[in-house]
Amino acid sequence: MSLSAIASKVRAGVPLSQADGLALYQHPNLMEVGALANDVRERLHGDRTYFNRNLHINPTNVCVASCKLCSFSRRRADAEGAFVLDVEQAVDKLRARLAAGDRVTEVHIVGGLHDGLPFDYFTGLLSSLKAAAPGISLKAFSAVEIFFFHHLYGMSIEDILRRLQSAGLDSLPGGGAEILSSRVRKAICPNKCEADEWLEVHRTAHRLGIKSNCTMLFGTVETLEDRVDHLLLLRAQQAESAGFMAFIPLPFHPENNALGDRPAPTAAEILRTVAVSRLLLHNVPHIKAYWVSLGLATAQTALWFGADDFDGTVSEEKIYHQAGSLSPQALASGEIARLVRAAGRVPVERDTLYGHVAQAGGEVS
Amino acid sequence: MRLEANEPNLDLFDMGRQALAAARAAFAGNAFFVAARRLQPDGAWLGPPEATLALVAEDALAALGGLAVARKLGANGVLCDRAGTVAGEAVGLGMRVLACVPFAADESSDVRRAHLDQLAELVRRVPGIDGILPVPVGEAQGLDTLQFFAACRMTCPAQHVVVDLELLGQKLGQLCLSFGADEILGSITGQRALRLGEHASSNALTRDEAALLLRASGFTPCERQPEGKVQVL
Repeated sequence: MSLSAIASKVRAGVPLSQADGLALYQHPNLMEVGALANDVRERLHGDRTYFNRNLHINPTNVCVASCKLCSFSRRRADAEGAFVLDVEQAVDKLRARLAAGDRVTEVHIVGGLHDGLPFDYFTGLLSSLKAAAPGISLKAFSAVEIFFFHHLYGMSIEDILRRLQSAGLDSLPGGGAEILSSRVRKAICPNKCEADEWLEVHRTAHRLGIKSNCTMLFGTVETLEDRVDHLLLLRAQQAESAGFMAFIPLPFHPENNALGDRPAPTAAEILRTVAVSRLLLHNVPHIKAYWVSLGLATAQTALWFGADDFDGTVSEEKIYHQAGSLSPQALASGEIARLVRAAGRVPVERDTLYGHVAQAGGEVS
Repeated sequence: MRLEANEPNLDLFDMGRQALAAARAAFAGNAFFVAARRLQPDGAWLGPPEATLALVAEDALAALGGLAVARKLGANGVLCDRAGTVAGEAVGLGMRVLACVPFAADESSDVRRAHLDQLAELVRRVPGIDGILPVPVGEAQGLDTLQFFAACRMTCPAQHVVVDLELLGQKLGQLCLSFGADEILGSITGQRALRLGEHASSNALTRDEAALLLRASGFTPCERQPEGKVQVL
């Protein structure tokens, strides 16, 4: 399939096929693929580039999964570096940000699969954060964690989600998808839920009115076909349940984990994946250039290769930094706006659900 | 057409297409990497001892005692400024001369145009200048850096446009290869040192990794080796 034929399909709104996706990955000129993705990005969002003010909280790094790709987890609670935040410590992190005058609109919560914590710990965490800041949006627990809760606590996925929702859960992050292929998951994360189980959690969440994000971790052992099939699975899920807000491509970081002998994806490969995802995921509204994982300069450039979201101010990111990410630990909202403007785009502060956040002067930043 | 960087209404992809095509045409689809080290004003070297390219910056020469002294200490390349005061002498001594061009994300297009005009004049005046090395002043911004590399390529289509990986990092450095650059230099070694002791935070590339950056950008990787040899990989 030639690029011009693919471009015709894109302009006509015809969903791209697996063969199209592979052709985009294998096209010799990155610039042409990027330009096509940028056309779609600008048609959907113009120059607007979204970001939010968020806080990351990792309740624990104790995890039974032992994934080869992970630099963050500790297998046992008594291992060096293992931690479990108590609820008050987590709430203090939020209070500290608010006390400093930072108008955080979202708390992003992901952690390890700890088999020694009661379910009340998680509902208590959510309800306490909500009590501390009633207007805050809680984006918490990846599908992998939700599926683990389902097994550990003997409740259905729907019951787990309903109880978390009652405690204050607003949306789900997109992590843990890795590559939605049994072969790849056996190789890199054999103890995580299966691909269909990951999708089932999101399907259930969407049915309950809980929006979510979706991700793809690329650059480990997967093939280009695996990546394209992964994107097509997400697209099919979105066609059915329509609850994904953003897709986040995540390049593998090789430091401090069992896959560390592999080179990290190059910047060209990252940009190509951003572009291909924008073109294949026609029904997912936003593509995120997660600066923590991509690095600032690559994330800025990705805003011209299909991405329309820079993620947030973050602070306290641990998972990627322990895997060797060299990006800063946090960015002030003004710094994000400056980086976005320097990339020739217009920064727009959003809330979790992509509503615009009015600034003090009544303007959108 | 002369492309100007730092003008937000320019089409990034048009700039990239033109600059990439010019780079490919100039070097027949080849791109280069070279292990480099630098001579400091106090006579010490920074970078792998086995590096092919041993550079000295023009502004270090006064402290070192001049170009001839730097040559005796092992320098075989000069980073000259836009005035290019020592460029002709260095070419005469058989040294590789790279012209450094500073750029800042917040400079005006007039300032940038003036810098590029100076560069073009220097390259005309000193025919032996082999390459252009853009040097970010302050924090390098993604888009601005790519635009500036494209502008350098279109200003000096026949010269090597060189990425210093120490200044730009591997990711942004590689992207410059899609915007007119055709060469990367940095701490490139045969084998990665264990990340212990003085190497704990080393970002050195291996030769294989350097070749991968070039190949993944659509070029045939070539390594610059001692005595002017080039090995196609």
